[in-house]
Amino acid sequence: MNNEIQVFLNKLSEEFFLFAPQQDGAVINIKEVRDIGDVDWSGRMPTNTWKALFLPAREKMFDISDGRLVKSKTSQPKIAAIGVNVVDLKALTLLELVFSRDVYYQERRCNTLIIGYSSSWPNDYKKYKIFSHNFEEDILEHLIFDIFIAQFAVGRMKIYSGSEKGQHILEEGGIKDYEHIEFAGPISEKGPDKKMLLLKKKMESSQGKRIWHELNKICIACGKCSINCPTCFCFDLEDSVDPDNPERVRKWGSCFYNDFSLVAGGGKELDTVSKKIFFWYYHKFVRIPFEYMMPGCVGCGRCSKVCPVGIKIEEVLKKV
Amino acid sequence: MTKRKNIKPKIAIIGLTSCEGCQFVMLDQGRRFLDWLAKVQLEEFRLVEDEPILAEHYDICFVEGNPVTKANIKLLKEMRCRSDKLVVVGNCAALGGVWELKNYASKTRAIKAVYKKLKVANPDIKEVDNFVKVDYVIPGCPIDGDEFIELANQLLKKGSFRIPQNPVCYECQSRGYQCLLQQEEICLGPITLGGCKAVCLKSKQACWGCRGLFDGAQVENFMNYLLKHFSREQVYRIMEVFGARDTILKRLEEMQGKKNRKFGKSKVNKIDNKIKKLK
Repeated sequence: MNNEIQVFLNKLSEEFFLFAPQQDGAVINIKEVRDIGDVDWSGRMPTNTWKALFLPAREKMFDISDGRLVKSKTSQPKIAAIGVNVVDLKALTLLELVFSRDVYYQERRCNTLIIGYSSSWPNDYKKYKIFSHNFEEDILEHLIFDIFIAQFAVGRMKIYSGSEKGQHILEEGGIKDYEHIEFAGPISEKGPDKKMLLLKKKMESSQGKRIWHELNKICIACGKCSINCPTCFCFDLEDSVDPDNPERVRKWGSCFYNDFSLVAGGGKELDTVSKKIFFWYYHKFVRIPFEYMMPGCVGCGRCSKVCPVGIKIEEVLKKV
Repeated sequence: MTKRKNIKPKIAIIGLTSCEGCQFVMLDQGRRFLDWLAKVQLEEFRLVEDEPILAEHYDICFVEGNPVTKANIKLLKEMRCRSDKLVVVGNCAALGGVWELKNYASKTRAIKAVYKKLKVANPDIKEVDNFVKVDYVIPGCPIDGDEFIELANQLLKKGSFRIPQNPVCYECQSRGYQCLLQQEEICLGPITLGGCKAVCLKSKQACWGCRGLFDGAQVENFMNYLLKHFSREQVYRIMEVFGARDTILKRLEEMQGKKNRKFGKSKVNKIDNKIKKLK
């Protein structure tokens, strides 16, 4: 990576905890940066997601003092997420919409600096390409980020800022040569993505199709896909009754488990695998587009990678 | 009324045949365990007392270990009669434990290999719920300390508890551990009840199902997947270690039975089986 950026990141590490994709054995994982030289700039898709930084797997909701509920007073550490690729930025933009009124998310978000990065496209992105993207500038306008570093083929790169916070930090870090991009909302001027609308239509009418019966016999409902999905934001609330510190915990939920649709009395809506998996796809490709006009799947391909029985989302979509 | 409030629930913690590891987990919780004990009247704790004297009535009885010997069975039945609620603790009591291995192999050969000269009784290993009614199960080998304290507190507070029905995969994936199933190892994570913090997977040890099945485990699809990639012997061997094989196969049969009933095949199958037996 460029010297200028190295210096900038070094300076950043004085104030922030840096998180970035790093080589971890055979895979690339997002974890805390010990040495800035370890950061992976290849643009390959990391195995785990960024959502853990904004929505931790377990998060305490409130404390109880004198029999009253008090919002937990935990100071959020300042975090800089470095090297978030375009696909993951898209997922974060969706989370931003969904949790726009969530205190816990917003608190974390305020203390986080998002630094996007692209080295052309992530390598295997084309394989998973579901939604059509065109020129980078067109895309950046509709993504949420503080700073974006775009690397072009011959060591040439361009730096963008996407927020006041980003501008401020860039100036402080001694980088003067950047372009500001104002966030223009998540939907492009041409209207919602056409491919998304097409998929929505297909998915709506696909209930009872053969593909869901086929998956009924393959899927083991381990829920790994939903846990490792950057846009899966459903959660469970769990109460613990420890007398010294009773607490309510918000943890990642998954529609593949019976607890997800369990109601008092023991009834559950999603009682077969085919219903569960259809529900998952339906949420991603019909309900999220309906509510937010954004695709619920950003096409990162993580679910295909972690599936132990080898269900591939792109093949399922083709069959739908 | 105030007087009633002062009465603490009577608790018994007994151990049958086991390594007593689960009782040690309780002791390992230190302060938290003592705090919990302060809220109850501990009548019985086999691991730390010299001479147990049975009280007439207990509110909650925790049973660890497997009823292997006749004395074990007698004690277990006695405790059931005297307790309102019976909670089994740990894999031995819930699923049969490591002892159950001999059920699946030759029982006589096993005993000869272990006790070369001594003559000992050699019963089949059965889970606690084969002898008495079990109200609640705290699974694991050994149990998870945090979970035990939480569930024990829930028991005192509302008289019942519920473990979130997630598989080990949930614990494993949300902590970012490597998937061993994808590395061609037999891991029972997808069908095993979570709550263990995936400690085994943390050290790259595949899950062998010590906590038993959870509600919603896709046993049928998972078995199909395993048998496609491994031999039946290999798969059974892993399932046998913690005595989960019989429970898994039972659930599998139930699932298949349910399916057949849907299509009205159960009768056909029964007749098929009878014909096979006659042959």
